[in-house]
Amino acid sequence: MERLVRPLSLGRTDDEPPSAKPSFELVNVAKSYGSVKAVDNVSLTIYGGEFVALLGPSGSGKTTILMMVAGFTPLTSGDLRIAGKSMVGVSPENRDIGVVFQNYALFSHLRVEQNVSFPLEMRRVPKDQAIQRVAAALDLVGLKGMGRRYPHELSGGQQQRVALARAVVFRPKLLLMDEPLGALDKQLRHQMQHELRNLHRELAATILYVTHDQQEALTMADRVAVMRGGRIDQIDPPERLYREPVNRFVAGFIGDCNYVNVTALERNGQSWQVDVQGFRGSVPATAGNPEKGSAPVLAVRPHQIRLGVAEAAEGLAGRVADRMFLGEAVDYVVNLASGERIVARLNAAEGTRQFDRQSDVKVSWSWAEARIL
Amino acid sequence: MKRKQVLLVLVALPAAFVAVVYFLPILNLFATVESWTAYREILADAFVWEILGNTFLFAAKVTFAALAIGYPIAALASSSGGRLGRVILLCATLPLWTSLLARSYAWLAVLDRRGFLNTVLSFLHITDTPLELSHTTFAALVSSVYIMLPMMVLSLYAQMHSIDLNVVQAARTLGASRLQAFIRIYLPLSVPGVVSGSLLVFILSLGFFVTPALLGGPQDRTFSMLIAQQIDRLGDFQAAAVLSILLLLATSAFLLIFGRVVGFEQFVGRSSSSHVPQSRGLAAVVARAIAPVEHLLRIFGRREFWIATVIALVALVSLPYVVLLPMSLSGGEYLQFPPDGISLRWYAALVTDQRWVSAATMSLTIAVGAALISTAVGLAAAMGLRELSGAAGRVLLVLLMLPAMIPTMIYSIASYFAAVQAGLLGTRVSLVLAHAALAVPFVVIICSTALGGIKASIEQAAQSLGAHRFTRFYRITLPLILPSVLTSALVAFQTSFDEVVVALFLSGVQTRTLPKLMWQASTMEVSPIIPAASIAVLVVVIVVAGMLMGLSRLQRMAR
Repeated sequence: MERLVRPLSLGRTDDEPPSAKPSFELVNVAKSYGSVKAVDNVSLTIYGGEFVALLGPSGSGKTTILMMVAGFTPLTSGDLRIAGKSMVGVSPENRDIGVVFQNYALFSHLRVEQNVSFPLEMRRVPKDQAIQRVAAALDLVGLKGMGRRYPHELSGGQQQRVALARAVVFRPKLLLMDEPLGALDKQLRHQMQHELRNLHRELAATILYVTHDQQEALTMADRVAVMRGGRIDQIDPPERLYREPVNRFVAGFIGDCNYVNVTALERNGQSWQVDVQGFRGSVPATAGNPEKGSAPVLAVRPHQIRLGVAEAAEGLAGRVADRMFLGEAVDYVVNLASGERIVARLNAAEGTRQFDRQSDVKVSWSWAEARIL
Repeated sequence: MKRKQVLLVLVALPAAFVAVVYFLPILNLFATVESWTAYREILADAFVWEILGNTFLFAAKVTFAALAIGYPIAALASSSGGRLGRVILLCATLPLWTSLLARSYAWLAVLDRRGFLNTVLSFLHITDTPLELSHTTFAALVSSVYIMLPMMVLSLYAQMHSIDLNVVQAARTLGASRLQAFIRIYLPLSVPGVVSGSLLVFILSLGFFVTPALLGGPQDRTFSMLIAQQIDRLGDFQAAAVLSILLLLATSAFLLIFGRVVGFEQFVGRSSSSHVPQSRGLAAVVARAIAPVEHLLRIFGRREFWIATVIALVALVSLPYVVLLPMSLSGGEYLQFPPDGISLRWYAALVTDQRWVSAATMSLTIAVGAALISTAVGLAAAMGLRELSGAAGRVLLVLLMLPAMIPTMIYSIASYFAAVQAGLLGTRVSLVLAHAALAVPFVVIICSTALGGIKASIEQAAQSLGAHRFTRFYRITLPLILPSVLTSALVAFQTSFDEVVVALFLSGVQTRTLPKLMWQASTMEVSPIIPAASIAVLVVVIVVAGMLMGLSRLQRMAR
């Protein structure tokens, strides 16, 4: 155990890379299949001990990137470096990268401990040492005493842990995970998310994690790269991604978002002066810029919307079209006078004012949290 | 080792093996024909064309009957799922695992003058004098259909298994009766399986030799029998070569159709490039035509009816085996049912008669050799096929599959000529090599299917954990497909142990195999020693199968 656990990573804030030393770099990486660009000129740096999630819908190129990093898919162009050393042309078995596959890819004919000791055997680790490290790895993932079992004798969650133990036991320079929690049910998935975070901290491992589940990416990653059409649209820590999306795609992919047409818009130094049908305010200018070719809109998250009685002084007049109870919150669908539709997410706690369907309301929002996209 | 070198070993070696051992002798047939006169004489012979026509007609009849019997069996097996489905499929395909000669003799035991059927009929006073059932077209047809049934059922099952039964249920909720849903929905969806199964059975039936020769009458002469006759009785090598070429060309036409319509990829469990239209229009016409009388046909829509039918068919399939055993225990001189007293004298004769003992030993030696070679070659080819994509892969696959699809008689004649020229006639080497070539397709099919079942991520995982190519193979891939490798070795063993057509010409007095001796004995004496030998062959195959299964279980326990 003593060598499996490396010293804890440096203290870090969310906005700063955890260490100045890049552990892993993608430099202008591209992959084309005929005329189709699966990955289009992607550059990405992951620092030692960092947990980066690649988030995107299916077909966005995230799995292609993972397979290129693992060495199973050759690059069309670009470079791929681990600790400054180019990995182009290095075969997967010589890359020293741990991979946790989507369906675990356990060796069904080998016992759990044989699965985990496999990479150590490949590296000719002396047997007594290997036994210790296997035990430590199984202990780490909470599978103490399960080593003699065969994979099919374990539950889905346990198989997941075996795959994890197998991928970390040889202390790879980089750990790749391809939707590792996709096959688990919701509760187990949440539990594993916590465990993966703990494991990441304990091992100070550098992790590239592929997922299409935004909640998973936000919960676990130090930084999230949002992918679309083979490109990275934005890479930032989860909070910044959520608060300052660079475009409508990112805003919509990370949580829900309302887009409101603006009547007038004026840039005023570090902020925008916005007029939405007479409701005026000042919005901070962030990295996000109005998309080319489409009219700028005001992006407001549902929970930033406030609903007031129709007589309220500020805001836009609207009528409640629907009301959906979500447990801790209530979603109101409100039709504005302009015909636009707004979703407001209000706290469902007792004492919060509730509105009935067809009742007239005033819609407003806090301008400081809204964004122009 | 670089990927290219590995590919070279995995692809070039098997390709070279089938090319030299199988295709070179066949091409050599063309060189054997000395003049165009030989072609002209044969092509001008009306008798040759008549036999060719008969052969096609016979193959068509076998195909049609196998389809009619196989369809309900496959449909029930695939729609039942679970244990019932597996049992039905196992029963229907069990004959695949037993000797072709034994299967043919079993039908002789059922249909002969003093056989099972005549005994039962006269016991029930249905007939006074025994019916002449054996050595008739009927007998040839029944036993041939029986032999082709497993192929048909497996082809149909493969397609039917992929039909989502929800669509049939959807049709029912939309107002279709059971029968209408079957005709409008299930039947059209199963058409690709019908086409591939029928084409496969038809092509294989074009080469029929053993079964019609044993059970048919003089009018049931097939083209393969005509070819054999040229050498056997007439010693006319030229005619034999020309006739073989003619049959080869005729078969090639259907192989081309098969390749285009069905695709050889289906043998190795790849998504085949099936171009079969799903005759929706025809189904609609049929459904409309039967609509007025549908209430009369209601029985066909009942599951119980089909279960009963399939049980009856399965019983029929097992009948020959049931009959074979008592007949082999006969104390009398003749093949008859019920046997004339019970004794083990024919089994005793098998193990004491020097002819039978040495033939059995020879067969075992050759079968083991052929199994070893073909398993090594076929496994390498299966690995190579997986790495090879595109046109090269397709060509290699076709080359590897053809030895199982081209009529064996053609190869028998071809290998005979080649062995004469190479000075290997009557040697063990020539038989081992020829049998190995015939077995390679089955090894490729079984191993490829097993390899296809391994998820790419399993081997990628091994690779990312640091395992190199060879380590991956013997630590991960081979253990995972070991049961299939052993199965393919068994099938190869059986292919050789049961093979008579090639052995007929290629083996000499010193290298006579068991099937060849059985064949020769049957043309002289139809005594209970034949069923006894058939049972013995069955037992050997079962014992070898048991040993291999035990071996793979031991292996698993040792891990």
